[in-house]
Amino acid sequence: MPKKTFMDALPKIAAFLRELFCNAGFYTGFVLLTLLTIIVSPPVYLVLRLIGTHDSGQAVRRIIWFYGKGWVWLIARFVPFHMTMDDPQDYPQSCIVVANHLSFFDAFCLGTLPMYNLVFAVRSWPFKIPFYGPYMHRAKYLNTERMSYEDFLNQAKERLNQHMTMIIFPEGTRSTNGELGRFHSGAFKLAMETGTPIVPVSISGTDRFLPKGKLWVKPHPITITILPPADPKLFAHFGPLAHRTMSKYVRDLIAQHSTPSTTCNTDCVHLSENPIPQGE
Amino acid sequence: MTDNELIEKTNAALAEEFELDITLLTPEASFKDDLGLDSLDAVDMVIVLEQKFGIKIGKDPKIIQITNMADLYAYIIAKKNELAA
Repeated sequence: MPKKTFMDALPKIAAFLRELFCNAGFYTGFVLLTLLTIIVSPPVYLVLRLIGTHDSGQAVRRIIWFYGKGWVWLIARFVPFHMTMDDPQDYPQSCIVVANHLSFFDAFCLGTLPMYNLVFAVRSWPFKIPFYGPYMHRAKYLNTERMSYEDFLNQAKERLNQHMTMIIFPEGTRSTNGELGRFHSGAFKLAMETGTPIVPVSISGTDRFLPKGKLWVKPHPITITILPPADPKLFAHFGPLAHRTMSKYVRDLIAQHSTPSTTCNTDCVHLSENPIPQGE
Repeated sequence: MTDNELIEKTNAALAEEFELDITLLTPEASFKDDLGLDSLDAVDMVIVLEQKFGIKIGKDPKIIQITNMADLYAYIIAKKNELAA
């Protein structure tokens, strides 16, 4: 058996050092960005309130959006980060963003959205994260584990009426194997009942970058594809189960874009290329 | 239609509509814990079954008590028998 030399081990050492550099940079950046946000939040909040363009919740949501942008900028220093979308003008401020869920980091990736007035519908545990919880409460995020579907629907409708963007991960939890899970239908029922468009977002690579339950990040490329809005009116003819048809359609769209790409191009598939199924 | 055919038809309808693995649809399977179905899915399930079997379920209090596949099979079989009688 040939003896292994230092040169043979060099690629592994280089890969480990790259990972080490990525983790050191990522976590240092995370701490600095979070501290910076905590420090600048009060004056930014006051300015936004004083100029009269933002109410209290809106000001907090704007700050969180900037924080998300900061995360995206930070992570793009360490891994290839590709984002694809149509003209930002094509996305309404009042819409329901539906994204697949692979990692804790997905929520930060949504800082790439052209909308800023974002309200997440999330489970209880993120509200318990130090520093994040108070911001989430003030931003009027919805805790879906603490409310019935009727309450969720009423509160989500109220937020959509105030031109907010609801963000929902319809799988309900992060995928453990990288595959797209079954979609719960709440987001789609909300869309059908309120006539609000759904903006599908496909996230790829975050499961490799920061897998569920892990803290050690891997320098893996991340791709975000913000797809064109889907209009619920186009599904109305499916009757009482129209929301399920819309859910399957959106899930298929997200699945089609869930493979990581290596180039940043404009390969968005338009709705016309994915025709909505016709009813019987 | 025999009881087994009813069960197979129920499984096929639920697997298709709720994108479930048909092998998970066993009599012991609980809607919530094993199949991951929520309260909204339960409402949709009523519509699917009504359309599939031409039965009227509506807000039947018996359907609210059902939490697993075995009870659902029994309910549908009873409903079909009522119709046949």
